[in-house]
Amino acid sequence: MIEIAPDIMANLYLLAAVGLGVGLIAGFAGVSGGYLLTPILIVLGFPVEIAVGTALALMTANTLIAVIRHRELGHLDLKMGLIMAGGTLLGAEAGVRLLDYAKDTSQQAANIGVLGAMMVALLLVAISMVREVWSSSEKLAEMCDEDAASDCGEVQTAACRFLQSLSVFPHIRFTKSKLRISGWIVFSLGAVIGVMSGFLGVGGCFLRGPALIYLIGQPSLMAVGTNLLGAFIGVAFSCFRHAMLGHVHLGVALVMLLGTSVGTLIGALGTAWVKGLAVRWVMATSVIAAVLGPALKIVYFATGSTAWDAAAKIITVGQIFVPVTVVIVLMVFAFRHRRGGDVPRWARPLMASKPHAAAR
Amino acid sequence: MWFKNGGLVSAIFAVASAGAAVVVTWYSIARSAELSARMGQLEDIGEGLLTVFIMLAVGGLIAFAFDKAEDAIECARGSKAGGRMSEHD
Repeated sequence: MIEIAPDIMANLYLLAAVGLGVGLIAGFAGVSGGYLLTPILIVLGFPVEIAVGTALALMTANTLIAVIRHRELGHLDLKMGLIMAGGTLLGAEAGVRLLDYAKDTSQQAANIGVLGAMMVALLLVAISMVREVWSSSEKLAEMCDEDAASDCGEVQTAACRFLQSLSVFPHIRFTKSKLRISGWIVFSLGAVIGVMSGFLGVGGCFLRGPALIYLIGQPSLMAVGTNLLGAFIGVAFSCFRHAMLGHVHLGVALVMLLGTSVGTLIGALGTAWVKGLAVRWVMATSVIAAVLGPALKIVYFATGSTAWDAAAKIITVGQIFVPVTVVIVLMVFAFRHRRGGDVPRWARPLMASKPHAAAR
Repeated sequence: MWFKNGGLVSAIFAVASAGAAVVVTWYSIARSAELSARMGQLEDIGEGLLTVFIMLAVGGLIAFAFDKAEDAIECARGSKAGGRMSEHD
């Protein structure tokens, strides 16, 4: 057990195990995992500002590991990632100040504000992702195997066609992503996500990832690394600012890092054997699973009934198992598919027929 | 230069070394009252910089260890598939 704050203790083994699950999902889906981590820490009893600061410290190391991995796998558009990171830094400072102001005004308001804002963001992303992934799955199932094998997760929505057509100076060509778009659009997107990073203690990957795919029009696998680079710069800065305010529990961050780093490694390796659609399915599942725990915790904050608190704790820790199971099942099928074994019909469109060319 | 023939043991050794370094860092910070007190006495900006530095150093160390672990496994695969020597030999 480790002391978080006066009268608040946490189990180190539980924290390391939670870290392992979050790392597996984060590595596979190419997200930093903050949208899972921060609510878990809050639900486990961490004061909201400590939960946010500690999650950011953990993600600083974790996203660095993931960025290095995905760079090796060739899933990184450095130019787009850096422009987006510029906006993220600006937004993150605003987010940190907003949380500090909310906490000074009322701890209860800060708790409900952080969880409520996260729930709304997660719900919006979950709904849009499930709709898109469902229709993409149906399209892929109709394709012949050769067409399907060439899928690397490129999605052309009306929104990304419109944004790419806006010729606001500077209109930049991103050769690795094979697209042209205004630098201001990429920068602004980074700024909005930066506010969420500083305020909610998230890397913003669950927003930036879908935004890169559905708004910017970047291929899914390339969006994985680009997303993580933007997240890394954003969370490192937010972590620095929260540490200045004394909101980081380094001991907890380091213990959880042991679990997340192993999980991230396994998850990142798994992406080489599946298609972009599988990555989007995992991201959608994890986002949906992450909504329920914070909802119950908000009910607890509003009513004060300990039954809601207990339910929130069980659901929040339990919710990790849903996306973790999805990742493990996909990786087992991908392994069997690679060895020429039989996989269920529904899983075939999600398997890459050979490892992605850039994979090691 | 890290390992002669690669393999799972070398991979586990590389990852375990990083794990041990993280545990020692954690123990020093969370359990050593003197170090914790010193960190508490730092200026705000110093505490922020030190926190980010520790997390980046540990993250970089783990990434490096995983890279070496993967190389160890690749090296072992190379040896099994016809005695090809890895660049690390």
